[in-house]
Amino acid sequence: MKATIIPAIAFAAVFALVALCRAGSTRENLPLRHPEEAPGRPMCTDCHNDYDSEAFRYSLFDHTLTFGDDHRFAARNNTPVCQMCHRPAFCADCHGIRTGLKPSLRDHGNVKRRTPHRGDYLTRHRIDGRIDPTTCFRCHGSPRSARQCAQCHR
Amino acid sequence: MLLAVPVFFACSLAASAADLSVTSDTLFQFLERDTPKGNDQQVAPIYDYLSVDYQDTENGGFSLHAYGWARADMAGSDYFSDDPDGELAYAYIQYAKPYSPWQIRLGRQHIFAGVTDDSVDGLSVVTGWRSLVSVSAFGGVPAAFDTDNGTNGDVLAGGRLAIGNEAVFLLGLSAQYLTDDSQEIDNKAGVDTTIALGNVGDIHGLSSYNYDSNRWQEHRYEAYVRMGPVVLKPLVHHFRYNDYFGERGQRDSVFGYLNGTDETLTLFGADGNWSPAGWVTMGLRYRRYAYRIRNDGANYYALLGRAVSDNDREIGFEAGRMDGATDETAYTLSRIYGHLPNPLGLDPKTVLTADFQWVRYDQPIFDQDHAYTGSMSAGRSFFHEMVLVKATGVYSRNPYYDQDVRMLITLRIVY
Repeated sequence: MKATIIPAIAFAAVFALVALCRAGSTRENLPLRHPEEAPGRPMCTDCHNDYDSEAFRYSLFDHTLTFGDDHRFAARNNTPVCQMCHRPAFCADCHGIRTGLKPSLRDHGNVKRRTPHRGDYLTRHRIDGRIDPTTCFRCHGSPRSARQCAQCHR
Repeated sequence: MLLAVPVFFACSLAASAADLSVTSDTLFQFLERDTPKGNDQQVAPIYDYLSVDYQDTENGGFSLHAYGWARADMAGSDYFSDDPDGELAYAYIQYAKPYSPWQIRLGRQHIFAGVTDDSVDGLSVVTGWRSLVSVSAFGGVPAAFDTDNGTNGDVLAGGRLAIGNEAVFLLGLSAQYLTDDSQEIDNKAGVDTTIALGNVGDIHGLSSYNYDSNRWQEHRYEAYVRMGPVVLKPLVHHFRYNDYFGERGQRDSVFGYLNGTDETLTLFGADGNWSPAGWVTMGLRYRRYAYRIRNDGANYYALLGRAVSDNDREIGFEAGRMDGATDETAYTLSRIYGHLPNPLGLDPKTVLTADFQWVRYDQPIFDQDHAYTGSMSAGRSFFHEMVLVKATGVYSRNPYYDQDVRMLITLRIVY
């Protein structure tokens, strides 16, 4: 493992120095709120497209058709960017210890939001869970969040 | 926490004017279920989701954020007897200023940092130095674990060090230490990276190393490529079940059996988005699931689309096919939805929505080879959007329920 990590760190240091020369800091460029309301599901790169001066890769935050499924990298290390538009409760509707209701019922009527487990997921999870159980484990992988599963999977 | 509350109020008094936002969503639900009392019993849970945000979003400083829910069954059924009647999702005090690298949180919070995606009752600190370094650290008691044996010996701690800048290249190193009742159950370290590809796009990745088993548990790499109206997102993920589910998987009865199967899952595919005009977007999805031991990989294909008008009217659809190696793991899915604000131009504060989803299973489940769910919803806001009333009727027919009717009503009040 050491043989992999040492060259990687040296490589990173060189690029980091280049980065230091090119741009300002990252979080130091962020207000707490986005200065303008971004209605609908914005494509951030429609405006943030000057790659030479932006400190973030806003492409990560483009709300494409499947952004509800694949925003993991965007949110994981840059939560303050999400919070410029979304209150924390918006994320907690899906990401929490237990949500009470599945997100599509909690926010019923909001058909535009690509929430997980929409429709008859009780049946479909038998197949999805067999094909890719890692996806289930990501949210239901702690004793309290798995309690709902345990009612049947004893 | 006992100390944190008075400290917060002392600080907030000294702070400049902040906005207090309290939102209560009271949700009434009516349905029928088989319960320990008998079949087709009335179940009428009432939920309240309460969120509180007290923050000066312009100048920053100390702020308070809390969110949780509680439930009571008005019909007095035993349907929820195995399921706790509430949860505090988060409740923390934060210190953050605009255009500052510092963010400090104290209380229950969800941590996203490198390898960590978990809730903790504790402290987290994020800071950085120009574009060269950013650092986050957290520690406390894991909030998603049972406390039947108290919280002695329960620890969740870790952090992430990132070097570089996402605009060019970023390398993050992260680690997590997690014990439950003094047993180490989910200790891992990880390397995440972002490589910018000029104006074309970028590559992101995360590799997690389970240092209980001393093996890699997960590799996850994705790219983003934008070429005018086309966005492509290829991805490849790889999981080793023994190490991914690990000791943590043994803590519940659902995933424990996967640790010990020596199975691996390799997932690759891509999402494509094409937006020829601002109002319409079409998408394609492909996923390939391949295993080391099981000889029954699967493919998922989907076509998606949506059209949006200037006044926020929207229709969308998805048609997908999960093509497992056997009929048991194959289904066809389709969904269509519509979102109609200001119907017929009669009332701009009213929104109507409709949603229909149909699934066909290649192998019947409980003698049913299909399921469908339809819902219609109407909502209206009052008093400058301080009050919202929303009602949804859901009808579903599926292998588990011959005819399932569910009524949901939400009363939202923003104080």
